[in-house]
Amino acid sequence: MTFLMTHILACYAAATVGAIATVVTKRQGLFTAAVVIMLVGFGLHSADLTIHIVQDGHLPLYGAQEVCSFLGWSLVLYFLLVQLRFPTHALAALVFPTALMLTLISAIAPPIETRPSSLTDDPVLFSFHAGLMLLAYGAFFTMFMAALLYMTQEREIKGKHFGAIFHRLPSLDTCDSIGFRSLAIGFVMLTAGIAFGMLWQYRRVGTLWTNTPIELVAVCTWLVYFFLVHYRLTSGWRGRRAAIGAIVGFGLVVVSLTVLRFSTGFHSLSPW
Amino acid sequence: MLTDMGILLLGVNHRTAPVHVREQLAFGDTELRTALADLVDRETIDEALIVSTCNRVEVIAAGSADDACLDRMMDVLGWSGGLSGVDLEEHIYVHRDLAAIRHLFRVASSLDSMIVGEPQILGQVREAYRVGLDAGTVGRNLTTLMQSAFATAKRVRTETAIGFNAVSVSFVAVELGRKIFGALKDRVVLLIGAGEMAELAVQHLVDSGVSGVLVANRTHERAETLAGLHGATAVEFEDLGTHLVEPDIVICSTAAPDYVLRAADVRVAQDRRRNRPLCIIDISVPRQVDPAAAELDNVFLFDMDDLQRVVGSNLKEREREASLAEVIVDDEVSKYVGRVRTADIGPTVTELKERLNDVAIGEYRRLRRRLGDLTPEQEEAILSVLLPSIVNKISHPMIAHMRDSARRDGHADGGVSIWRRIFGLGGGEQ
Repeated sequence: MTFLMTHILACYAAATVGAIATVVTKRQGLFTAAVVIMLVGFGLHSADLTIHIVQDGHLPLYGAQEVCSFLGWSLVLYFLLVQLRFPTHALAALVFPTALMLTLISAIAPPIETRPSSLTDDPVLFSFHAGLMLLAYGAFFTMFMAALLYMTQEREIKGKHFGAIFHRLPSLDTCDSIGFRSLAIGFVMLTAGIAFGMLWQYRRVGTLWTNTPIELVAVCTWLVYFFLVHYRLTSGWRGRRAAIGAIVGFGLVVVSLTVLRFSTGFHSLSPW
Repeated sequence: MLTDMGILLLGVNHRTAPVHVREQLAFGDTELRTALADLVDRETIDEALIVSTCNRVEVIAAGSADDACLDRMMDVLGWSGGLSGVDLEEHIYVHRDLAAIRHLFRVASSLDSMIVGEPQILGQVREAYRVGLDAGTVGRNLTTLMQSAFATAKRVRTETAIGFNAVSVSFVAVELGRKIFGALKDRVVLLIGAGEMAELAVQHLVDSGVSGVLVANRTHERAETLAGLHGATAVEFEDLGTHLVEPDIVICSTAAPDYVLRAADVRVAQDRRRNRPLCIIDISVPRQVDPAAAELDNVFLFDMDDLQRVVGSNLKEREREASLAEVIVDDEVSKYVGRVRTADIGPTVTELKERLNDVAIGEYRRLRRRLGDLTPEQEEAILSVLLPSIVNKISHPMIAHMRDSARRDGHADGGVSIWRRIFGLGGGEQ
């Protein structure tokens, strides 16, 4: 584990403890401290990514190790963006441990020595495709967590349980707004990411579509999120329905990552 | 001497005395001043103040409080209600020194209130202090004490969540609204019917930023009057369903033979609202909104029992926070005691230094001739530099010891009386 990685993990771990303690004790001071520590960790993580970009000439997104690290980084990025508008203690308690876990996996997984030539031949297209796809997945992950908060809080309110959970979770509107904003950002990224992927593939093999499992899953994912955006805008799919959609959509994201894991060729995330 | 720090507190509160006793004891403003003037005789009681609210009447006195002045405090307490000490005996509590300080800090921090964490009590204690200052019965001692009490209350407010959640039914509407809509800015509330609690709830919502208020009433004139009162718009009572499109929060308080809002009306309204969340608070008993409406997506329906439950849960939450507040109170009490006790040794420190200084200068003058010829500069240096420096060096460990034992020990005069006896200062008593 590199020196930088150790410090990133230390920051993420400390911030995770702080975020969970905030939710338990409801102390604003703890929350501020946790966010500041997370910000430091995020700065270090960004530096780590930059070093890799300079070294490799493309975004470090090959193999599970690099993908996990980038996904963790993007979750923190979205969290910090959300904070500007909706300071949400409970979201921190979900995002911080997840980011910590993803980064930890990345830190202990063995690094990949050889990279396919298609990647080094066209580093810019690869970076845009993979980077945008993973930023989209990060946004959908955030949307998924907001949806979990929404469903839990809605169950508390509708079930008239005005206890510890009710007091600690954000308002339904906050969860819903975080979800919708994440959806909008994620959908744009996903669309652009798929477009860059097709372009990259066209450059490589001369066709836009090769009918591999990963392409099929990507299109399904795109369709689900397309309908979520569409119905949100046209028939007021908000609140509970939007939250269920977010959970289904995220299921497909997980399927995508799993398919990647077992794919061969340049889409392969192996070896772990 | 009955007490060690000279602070005595005597009173009744909502737990020790029933309301018919408390209402007799409550002081009016002028009565308060007369009672205070009566109490402070400058012999046994130097300073006093009286906190009088609907839930408590407390007399706090500082001085060389003894048994006799306890009786006088009791008389003053019963005075406005024409009750004697014997009548009051069973309702009264008496706290001395540490217990009195602690009690006062807890009262100011709203830990002793009927509804723990309610914010009014601090203002009432402040008012009692102000009246005491005005009447000239509050001096240095009580000022220090009260300032510490206010500081404690402030710490409790900022460091615990004791005052966060609503504990009155009419304010719960605001809290529920916030949990559903986040900020209440730009939200619209519809009041169906009338009634003190419902109108109070609407008022709380308006205070919390709700931008529009609609009022519907069976008699349109009444709706107009209410609308005028709240700066609201009156709407037709007959087809309420169509008026459900605009509001986000509905407060219903009517008495009708049938449901005022049926589930079908709400469903139709939800379609037209494009499924925006709708919070309906039905405080009518019997209920006026069809409970089936709660099944609809994005519709949140609460009845009177639900509101009561929120209040109950918030009170429990407050009690949890109160245990944190008790720690703060303990901390502030010991800080205050430490401050007062170190302040107590002040005069002894001065006298001790003066005594040592006198000895040094006396000896110098007595033996001056043996030192032979000295220039005026040399003489000046001995008197203003050498001797004071020796005195400081010798007295420093003694003062440090005094300060230390004053801060640490339970006794106000700690080591002080010993030092006074050793050096024969002022007859051994402060």
